[in-house]
Amino acid sequence: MSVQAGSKGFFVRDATGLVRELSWFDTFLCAFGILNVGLGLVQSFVYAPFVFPGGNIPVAFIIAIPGAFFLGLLNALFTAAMPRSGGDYVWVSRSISPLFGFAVNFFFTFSVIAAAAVNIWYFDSIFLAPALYAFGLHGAASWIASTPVSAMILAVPALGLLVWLFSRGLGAVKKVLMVLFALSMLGTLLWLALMLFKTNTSFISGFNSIQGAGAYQALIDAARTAGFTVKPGSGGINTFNAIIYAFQMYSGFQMIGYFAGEIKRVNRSAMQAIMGALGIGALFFIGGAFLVIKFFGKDFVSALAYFNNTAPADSHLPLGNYLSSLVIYMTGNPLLRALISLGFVATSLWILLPQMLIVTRNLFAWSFDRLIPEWFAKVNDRTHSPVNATIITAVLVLIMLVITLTTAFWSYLVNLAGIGALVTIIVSVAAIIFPYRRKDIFEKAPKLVQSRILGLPVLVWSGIFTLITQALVVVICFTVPAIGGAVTWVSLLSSLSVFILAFPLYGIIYAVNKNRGLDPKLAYQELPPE
Amino acid sequence: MSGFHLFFATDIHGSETCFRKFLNAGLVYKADVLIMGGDMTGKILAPLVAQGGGKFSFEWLGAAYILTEDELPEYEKQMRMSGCYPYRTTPEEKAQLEQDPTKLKLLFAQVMRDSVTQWLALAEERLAPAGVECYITPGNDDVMDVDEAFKAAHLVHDPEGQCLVVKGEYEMIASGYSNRTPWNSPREMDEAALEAYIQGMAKQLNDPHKAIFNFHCPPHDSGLDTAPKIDRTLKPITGITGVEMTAVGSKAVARAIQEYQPLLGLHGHVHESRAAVKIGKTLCVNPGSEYSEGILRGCLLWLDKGKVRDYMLTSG
Repeated sequence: MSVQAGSKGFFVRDATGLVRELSWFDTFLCAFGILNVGLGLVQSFVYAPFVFPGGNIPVAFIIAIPGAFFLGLLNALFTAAMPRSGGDYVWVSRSISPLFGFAVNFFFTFSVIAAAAVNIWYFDSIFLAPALYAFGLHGAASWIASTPVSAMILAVPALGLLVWLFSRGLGAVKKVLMVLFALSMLGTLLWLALMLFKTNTSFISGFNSIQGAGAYQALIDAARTAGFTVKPGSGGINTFNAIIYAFQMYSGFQMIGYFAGEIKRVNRSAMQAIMGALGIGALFFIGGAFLVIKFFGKDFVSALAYFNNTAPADSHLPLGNYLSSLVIYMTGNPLLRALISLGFVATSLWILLPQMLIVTRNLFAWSFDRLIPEWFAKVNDRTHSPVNATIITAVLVLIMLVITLTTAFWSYLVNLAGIGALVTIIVSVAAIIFPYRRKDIFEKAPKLVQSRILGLPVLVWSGIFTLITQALVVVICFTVPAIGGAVTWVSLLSSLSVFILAFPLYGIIYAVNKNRGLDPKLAYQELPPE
Repeated sequence: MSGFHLFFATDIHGSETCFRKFLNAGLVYKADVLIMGGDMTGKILAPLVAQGGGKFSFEWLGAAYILTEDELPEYEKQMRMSGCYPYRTTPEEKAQLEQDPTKLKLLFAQVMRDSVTQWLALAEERLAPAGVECYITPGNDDVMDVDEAFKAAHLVHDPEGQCLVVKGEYEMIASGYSNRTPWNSPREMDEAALEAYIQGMAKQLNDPHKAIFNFHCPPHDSGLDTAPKIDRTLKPITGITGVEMTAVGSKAVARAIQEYQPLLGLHGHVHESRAAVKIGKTLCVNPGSEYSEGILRGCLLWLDKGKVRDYMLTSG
């Protein structure tokens, strides 16, 4: 045993697990990696210019910063208060109740599965066709771009490949993840650099040289003729409402809570990492959105979004109406085209792997808590990979993809932003009541967590402001018909059904477990510390 | 309900809050047997330095304090409850401790032994009326000096290296030793030595399939032993999805479980690897640890007729 004088007036002895902890910069890199700038920008411009015509997307990214700040603050403070707990599932369980903890986690897991399905759809429809085109496979590119069900056809082997990859173990997954991340970052940076150093005139010239003389203006005119209009005076409100897409992009840094136990001086580092990632990420998103407008032209991206959401074929673009489809017009350099297109493909795929990991991780946690059968947590004897959970996850993603492509399910569910906001509202309520319901933990938390403004803990303020901003997101999602269709009782209930479903499900599981022997309520029964 | 309830917790690292919760688990969970799987001693010692005039200075939870002697007990209690050893000292002694690692090491051993002695006395007082069986194995992070404290205990048993019978029915072999770690902790062995040690105990079993293997170190690559992967400087290695994880458990423990297929494996050691897995016919659990937040993680099991009828990971 070795011992040493600590730097903070303590003596510390060497013991298992006392590792050199992660610096704030290590943590920042993890948080920033989760903010997927390339995918985020493409996704925003697919919808926002159509749903909120005339809205200024770069400004929406700016307006959303305070809301994202309070969400980041909430996550940083909760992480500092319970660094070993492992995220929002436990925060809500301890602050409100295990039932709500499960409901939130169930909802969150569902939205991750849904997001994974959407990402496969994006991969196919938005990113794969331009990449194939860049590599000279024009026929395949055209087929994918013009065949909506190609996503379903390609999803089966793609998900099979993912299951195979996960069955090789986490090490193999991480290697692939690193390659995809590197390709994604390279492609994104090259794409941004092209937009930075080239002009709108050069894009128009490139576009017209392939699509025909005057094609750029003709596409804008065609959208107007088809019905795209910007209501006079609506720019302000539409800019404001477009924050829902910005909030979607400013997310993911909550994952820091899952490994906070390893962060050095977690109370400060988590805060610095989350705020640093948010700040740099915001610069990328705001700057990227400005570049998109500057380089492609606001009317042009609005026309693209209009066609994409109404009659995609009417734009007569060979690879679809997405920013990623425009790479062929941005440069004639085949290497740059290939790297950027490959980067976009990687950007859509690499996010899929963490999503699969999150779902399998949650299935494991539920299994350990006896909420689902042990079978889900069974691992392969040789590779120790969670084969069953991975197969189930892949099947669920496939089912969600089929539902997404063949039904109006998403119209009922409003959209992922609305679902995510509902989950976050519960977490913000947990933050508001935590200092009062769990005084035992709160009073032992670092001073930063206990600090107060106007008599209320900062954690409570972060919960209040997060609740307000997320409620705003819910209101926008549920009141703007262009997002999810006309709002009806059916759509409202459908949107809430996933969350509500968790309650009877928990009740059934509770009864089954109680019947088996041990009373499930003991799992979170508070033990007296006297 | 036939059979009995067994409650297992581990790795409380000096947290008196968690130890008191452990003792109360018998009552709340209606457990007939309590087993603590090791690493009961803390890692941090807080010097409360006399400043003259009956005042002491110290740091706690990021703040600096100068308090009178009358005000100290409240903070000393807070420290003990959180897994930190308060120690009243002088500026001269503190300076010596900072300069002399051997002296500091001896002081750590003394405070840990005293703490365990007090805990065991408390356990005897609390458990005697309830008739609960209690087994506490020192773990790899517990210095040898704490073994002394168990000699005076009557109701709390240290089963290290023994084959004994729980509730008159289930044989249990136990060890707090681990395979080698980067920290050179007090109770470590090479895998070969650990395997021979375990085999020595296992050979004494009459019915291995009905036995409990209470080994602090989890079986290698079992899902119970996933810890941050660290570099040569003991810094966790990070990737774009966070900290990289790796298996750190014992291959000797894994082989013993695969060979003997006991009824139950009780493990700890890796705080972040809370899980329950089946290895062949053996249910192996690691309830994990969240001692720093004063939360006692554990596993409640219902054993009946030579089987694990039900189990549940708890957070209390």
